[in-house]
This record gives sequence, structure tokens and C-alpha cells, in this order.
Amino acid sequence: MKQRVLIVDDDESVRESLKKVLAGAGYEVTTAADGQEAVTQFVPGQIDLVLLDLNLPFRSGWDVFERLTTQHPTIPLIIITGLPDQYPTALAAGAGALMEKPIDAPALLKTMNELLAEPPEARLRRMCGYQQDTKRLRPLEASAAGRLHTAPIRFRQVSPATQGAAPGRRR
Amino acid sequence: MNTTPFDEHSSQADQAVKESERRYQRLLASVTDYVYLVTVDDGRAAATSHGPGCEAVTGFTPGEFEADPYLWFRMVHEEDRPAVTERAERILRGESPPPLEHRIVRKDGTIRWIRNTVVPRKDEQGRLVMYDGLVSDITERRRAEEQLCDAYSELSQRQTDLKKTLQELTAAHEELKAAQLQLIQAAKLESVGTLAAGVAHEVKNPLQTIVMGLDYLSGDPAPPKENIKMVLSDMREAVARAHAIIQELLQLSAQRDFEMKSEDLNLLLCRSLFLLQNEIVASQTSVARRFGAELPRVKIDRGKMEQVFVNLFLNALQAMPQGGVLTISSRVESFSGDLNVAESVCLQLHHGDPVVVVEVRDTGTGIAEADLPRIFDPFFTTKPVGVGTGLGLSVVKNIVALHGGAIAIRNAPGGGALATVVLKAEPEGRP
Repeated sequence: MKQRVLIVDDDESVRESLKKVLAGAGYEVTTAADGQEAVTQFVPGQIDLVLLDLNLPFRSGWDVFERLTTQHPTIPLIIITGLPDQYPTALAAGAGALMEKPIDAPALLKTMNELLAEPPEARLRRMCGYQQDTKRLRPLEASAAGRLHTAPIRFRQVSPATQGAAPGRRR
Repeated sequence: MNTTPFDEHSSQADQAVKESERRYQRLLASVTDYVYLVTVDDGRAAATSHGPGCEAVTGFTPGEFEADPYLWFRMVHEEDRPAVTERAERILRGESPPPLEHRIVRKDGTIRWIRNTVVPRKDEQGRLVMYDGLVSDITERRRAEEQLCDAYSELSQRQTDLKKTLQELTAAHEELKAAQLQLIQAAKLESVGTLAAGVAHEVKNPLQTIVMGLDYLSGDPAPPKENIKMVLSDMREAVARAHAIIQELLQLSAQRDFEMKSEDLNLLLCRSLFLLQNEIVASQTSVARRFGAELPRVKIDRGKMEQVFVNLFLNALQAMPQGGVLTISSRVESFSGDLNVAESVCLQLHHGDPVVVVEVRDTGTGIAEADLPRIFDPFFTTKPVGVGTGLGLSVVKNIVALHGGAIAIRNAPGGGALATVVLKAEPEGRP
């Protein structure tokens, strides 16, 4: 059975290009253009992984993130953003990964595979560690919360395509 | 005591004498000229006789002059004696020198200026036998001349001072202009800094499309032909988008002198909004564009005016951290007091002038009444230390004023803040 991915991004060409690549790699893809649509499109049990942009109209990516991780703490979730610095790295820790645009297809597929292969208990553990600090981790308050840097949370951040690409791929 | 008719008569005569004396004194006081006569014998001055007016001018009576033949010469101011002597010699030689102006020391010691004119009288053989002299008291005229001279030299000194001041002012004006441009640039770079992250995000989306497109196109097996065409078109469009937003940012940050060109203000408003796309989405704000149709063009410096609107939009967005509605309207109308921009210096706008009015309204909390009078002051900011320099609005006002326009910011009746920018419309029919 095909794995099902929800892509949430307000940029149509980003959604469509990701959709083509993921469909080509054998995923079943649903898309949402804003936070409200993302919440509507996410049907528990029918989505295996979410790719989420944080800068969204109508309902911010953060709201969607909080709702998904609270209600479905084991859902694999990858934050895709153009502004990784605006969100504390620990925020991404609640998700499976934070990937900075532009993301290349091999790196994205590798991260998705790893997350999907992760046992649900591992995801839950990570999420719980994250959620203890949720209220203090709102993006706007993050810089003021000195404890952020010492939060004992495992996270991974995947570099953008230009940094992670093999030398042979760049011209 | 009884008075006799004789006493009475004597008293009347006394009175008449006194009255006559007073008249004489008055006349004397008003006399400024007198004549004198010099008899010449064998080329030498033999005798002088001074007319009655001499006492008024010199203080000496004709009798005193008669008794003392050298009195007239001693009366001449020491410094002027050589000139007077030289002239007297010329006259005695038979010449007719022009009138001479010199000082005399009056009997009471005061100094007067006189003009001395001489008319020689000659006998049948042409020998000088006597000459008439006319002495005119010209002290008042000299004093007036001296005052005029002083006034003139003071005037020319003032003129020199003024010229110097003007030069200094011109230099100061140039410096001020340079400083003003620097200030505008500094404030602009602050906005550009705020925008940079958003613009980076806006550029990363097209990059994302391009990277994914490349990965898709180089996939194995090769994608279907119709998809290739579509992906390439998306990629091309992504490049154009990234280019456009970078161009816009470069255009805004470029440091240039003022360059006034005829512009479509609606287009300029769209371009300014384009730069803020990311901030608008991030703050969950919706934008209502109420752009007037067929707006006349305005003569403006595009970069500077974009700076004005980017700044006003940023302020509006910052006033609505929880999201809201940013309403931007533009229209043409005749300039009048109803625009409430009277507090803004707008000497170049006159009642009835066709103007383009842009209003930027937010649904934020508005501005505290106490802050309203100071919002255009340099370095006035309600933001925390290190967040804003307080240059933004002061520079905005500056730029609008440099365009001969006006700006006002107040609280809108229904809540939120309302900024009104008024710019002179270009006359119809001119490109």
C-alpha cells in the first residue's frame, strides 16, 4: 500500500513540484494551501506523513503544528521553511525534522524514509519531551527563554539542498 | 507802589527792545551765511570787513574781526590752515580757485564746517583790487554727509557679512542635504533589514521549485514529455519571481540622489506590497486594495516614495501582531482642509489643487493620544530599545515634504491608525 503524504505550503509551484517528485517516488500526495485547509485535509489514519511550511495564511503553520502534534503525537512531521532561524531549533525537535528550503529530492526522500521507519514509540517519546516545554516554546517567546539551549531534546536539522548536495551535483 | 505814565512808557519801550532783541537772536540763530570783503593793495590783503551774519556762524562780531586782522586765520582749524593759506595765495595771484570747504573753531570753541566762495574784483588794468567772499555754514550738510558715509560703509560691511552668511548658509544647506540623504538611507536600510528575512523566504520558494524541478527532470526513468514541458515552465516562472523580488529589494536599497519621474502611484503601491508579501502572510493579515481607477500620475522619486509606503505598511503590520486588515486606498481629489493634513507643512499645495490621496489604514490598537504629537519626531519610538531607531516616520515625513506633499497620521474613527499621504497630481495630458 502506498504511503500517504500531506504537503502544506502556500506557494503553489512549491506544492506542485514536491507533489510531482513524491508521486514519482511512489507516494500518494494530498496538498493544502493554507492552515485551515491543512486541518481539514488531515484525516487521522489517512495521512502517514506531513510536510509543513510554517508561514501560512489564515491559520499559521505554528497553529497547525501544535494541533497536529497535540492530537496526533506520533504523526511523522517535517517542517519545511525558508526561515529556519526564525523558529528555535527545539521547535523542530517536536517534529521529525526541520528542512530548510531549497530542499533537494534525495535528501527529502531519505528523511521521509527514516521518519516513516521510526517506531511510533520513539516518535512519542520525542514528542513528550518536546511538549513539556511547549508553552514556553512559542516562536515569539523563544528568544527570551534562556533554557531553550539546554533542552535535552534530540533533533535533527537537514541542511538545504545547496549545502547538502554532493560536489558532483553542483556546477 | 504807584506807577507813573513815564514808568509805563519806559516799561513798554523796554519790552519793545527785549522783543526786538529776541527777534534778532532768532534771526541770528537761523543765519547760516555771511559775506566779507577783502581789500587788496599791491598783491597783499590790506583790510577785511565782515558782514553782520558772521557772528551767527563764527561767534565773533564784525568789530572783533576788524580789530584783529589775523582773527579770521586763527579761526581756521589747525589741520585746514595749509589748504586755506595756499588758496589765499592763489587768489592774491589773481586766480579764481573753486570754493573751499574747511573747518573753523568758533568763539565758543565748537567746530563748524564752512564753504568759502570767493569772487575777485579787478580794476581796468586787470589787477586784483579786492575780493568778495561768501561763507556758508555747511556743518549740517557735512554731518549728514558723514552720516551717509557711515551708513554706506556700514551697509557695505553688512552686505559683505550677508554675502559671507549666504555662502555659509549655502554650504550648510549642502551639508544638510547630504545628511538628509544619509538619514533617508539609514532609515531605509532599517526597513530593508526588516524585509530581508521575508524577501529571503520569498526567494527560497522559487529556489525550491527549481531544485525539485531539476530533481524531477533528472529522475530515472525519465518523466513523461508533457510533464517535462510543464515543469520547465514552472521553473522559468520561478526564476522570474526570484528575479523580480530581488530587483525590487535592490531598487529600494539603492542609494541615489533625488530623481523625479512621472509614476503611476497604484503600481508603486503594488510593488511596495510585493516586498512585504512574507510579512503579510506571517502576520495573518489580509490586504484590501481600494485603488482608484484612472489615477493621474505623480512626479516622484520612485525609490524614496516606495520607502515611504513600505514603512507605513510595515508600521501597520507591526500594529496588528495578531493579524487584521490592512486597507490601502488611493483616489484623486481637490486639495482642501478636509484632508486634515494641515499640521503637515504643505506650502506647495494650494486649495483646489488636484492631488492624489493615499490612505493606509490598519485595524490595530491605534496610537496613544499622548504619542500622536511626537510620532514624526526623529528617534521617537514606542518599540523596545534595539528594535526600532525611531527614524522611520520622521524620514517618511521628510521624503513627503521633499516631494511638496503632506502627510498626517491619526487614529481612525472605527479604531486602528490611519495614515494619509497627499501628493500633487501631474496636470492632465502630460506623460
